[in-house]
Amino acid sequence: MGAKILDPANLTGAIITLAVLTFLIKDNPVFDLFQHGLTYHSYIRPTIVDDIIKKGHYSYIIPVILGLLVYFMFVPSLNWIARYPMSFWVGYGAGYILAFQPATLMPQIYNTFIKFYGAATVGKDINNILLFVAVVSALAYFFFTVRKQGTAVGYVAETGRWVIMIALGAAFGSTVLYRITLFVGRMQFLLGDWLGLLK
Amino acid sequence: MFERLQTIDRRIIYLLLILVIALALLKPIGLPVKVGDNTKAMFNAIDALPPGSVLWIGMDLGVSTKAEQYPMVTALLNHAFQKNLKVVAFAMWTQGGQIFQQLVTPVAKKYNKQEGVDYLNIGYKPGNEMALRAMVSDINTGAAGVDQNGKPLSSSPLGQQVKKLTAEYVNFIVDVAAGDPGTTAYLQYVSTPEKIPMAPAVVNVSVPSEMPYVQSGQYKGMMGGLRGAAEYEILAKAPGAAAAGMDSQSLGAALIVLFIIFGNIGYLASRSKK
Amino acid sequence: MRKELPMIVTVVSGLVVVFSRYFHYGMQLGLMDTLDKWYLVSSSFAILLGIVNMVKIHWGYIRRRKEGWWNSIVLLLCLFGYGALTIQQTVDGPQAAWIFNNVITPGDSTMFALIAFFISSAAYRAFRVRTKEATVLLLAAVIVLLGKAPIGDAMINGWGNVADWIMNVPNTGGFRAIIIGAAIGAFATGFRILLGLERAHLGGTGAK
Repeated sequence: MGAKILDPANLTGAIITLAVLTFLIKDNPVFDLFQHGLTYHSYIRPTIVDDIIKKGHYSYIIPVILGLLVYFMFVPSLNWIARYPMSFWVGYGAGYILAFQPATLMPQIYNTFIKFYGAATVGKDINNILLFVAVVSALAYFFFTVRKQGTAVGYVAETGRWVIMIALGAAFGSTVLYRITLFVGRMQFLLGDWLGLLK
Repeated sequence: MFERLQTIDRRIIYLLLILVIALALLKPIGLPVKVGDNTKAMFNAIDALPPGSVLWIGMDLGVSTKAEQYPMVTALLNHAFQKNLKVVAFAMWTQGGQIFQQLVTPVAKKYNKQEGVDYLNIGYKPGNEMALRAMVSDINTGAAGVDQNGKPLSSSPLGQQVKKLTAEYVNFIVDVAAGDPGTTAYLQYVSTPEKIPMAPAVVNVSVPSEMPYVQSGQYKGMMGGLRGAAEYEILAKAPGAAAAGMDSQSLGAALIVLFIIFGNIGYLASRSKK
Repeated sequence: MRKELPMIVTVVSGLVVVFSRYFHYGMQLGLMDTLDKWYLVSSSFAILLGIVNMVKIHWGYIRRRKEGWWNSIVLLLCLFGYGALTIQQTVDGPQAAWIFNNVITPGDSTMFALIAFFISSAAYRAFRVRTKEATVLLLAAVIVLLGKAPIGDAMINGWGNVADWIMNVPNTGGFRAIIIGAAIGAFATGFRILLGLERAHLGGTGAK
């Protein structure tokens, strides 16, 4: 047990764990640098050395320059130049949403309108009806431009409000369980890997 | 008297939480874990893959979710190597590639699997969803032709075999995701357009928002939280860290519920007094 | 033209993607493959943006001797020290991997684990059955919390089934509505960007 506690790797990890448990470290600089070293090795160096220099893909120089233009945002008189790479990224992202999102959304819509009879059990039929009611009423709740007071839409939207309450309650319960699990993991490290008390 | 139940010092709650979790780890109760339908569906979908099929694992997690997701990856790798599936890992999160390397090494050793032949770690590449789309046309475009450590993908048999992220080369996707970018990116940009079946392995907090996609059949099952990892370990007959943490998780949850009940008893008592 | 030309870039790059996806001729031209690569290369070269900004901010703290300025010195030392290490020996190098496994991993995971305490204290203090809505939310949370852990079924047989029903029906219904609403909103925003009605990314006042 003594060897495990004093093992440099376990000891460092335990000190860091206990230190964070006693006060919050406000910044985590080490993590940020990890990302930059990794991107250099996994993308920047192969693009410059392998693609442009070795394979002669000189057209890649254009996106390299485009990426570098964004640093002009730190030069006040020339920060308009940084709009070009930003425009490309924003436009490209918008195009992606229009191109790919509908195909993912459609199954969500037509799987709400499932047959209300003929499932394997009566319970499944009831659940299909309830699911339909839940989706439609929750959607009605999000109609903010329609008058709801005393109307049919209003009653449906009120049902939707309760559905969303239940959904958010389930989400909260899942969140609490998640956070507890993360702490259990740290206790497993302290009691098991560091102090060697767990089998 | 009951009103004081509303004002218990929070340090007492913290101390009891630590004690309860520590005790449950030191003296496990052994609460039985029932396997759920979603985990079973995911397991069966992967189990049905013939040997030699390519399983693509999205490593979209960080070390912060280690407790919940490391056991998921380990259980998945155990199952994949038992079935002699080929595994390719790719990360949209910066730490994902490193984490995969750490987890695959002992499991690969157990099943005598070789890097480059039975599994490949493409690692982290910048670009998020765009990197995925680039790999749909050509893996080398999205990955800059190299793996996590800068070694050419073409230097390994598996790297040469998996030319594109399409149904022709990849048979199933599991995205181990702790947030965004993650499962939605795979669903929207790879699984739906390229018709590759997929299932997510997500943290507990994401489970409620992923359920609509499970119900619609867009996901072939789901591994949700530490419970999902424990269920998968049972199905794959590869007991691990997930099962060990279930008792502590249960007792910690029960303690929090108890305090919520105390607080509400105190609240109702003070309300009736008024 | 300082805003008009970038707007044209926005619209053209978006239309190329839409054209390549929905039209057979667009797919054949393969423009999207080229633009995918351009996006990846350009965004990876912009990665230093975060570093430049961080150095600017923390150098300012050090110069002005703002409270806690010595934290900024530590940060900048780690920034360049660890960055140089990962460039020199890759992230799997001996020292870099050691720092990742024994400093980053425990620090990062413990910071997230701390929230377990805050959430339990917050749940105890704030979760009160003041209204009918709060009661429903609380009941759903408690049923799912105990149902998803083995203790629910251990206490009352069938608790897990109730939790599963909540997840499969009302939860799925509620979140599906949220997904559909968010998707329609994102689609509308994408349209507005391609029609040139959204100008926030050009540094203007936002929507037209």
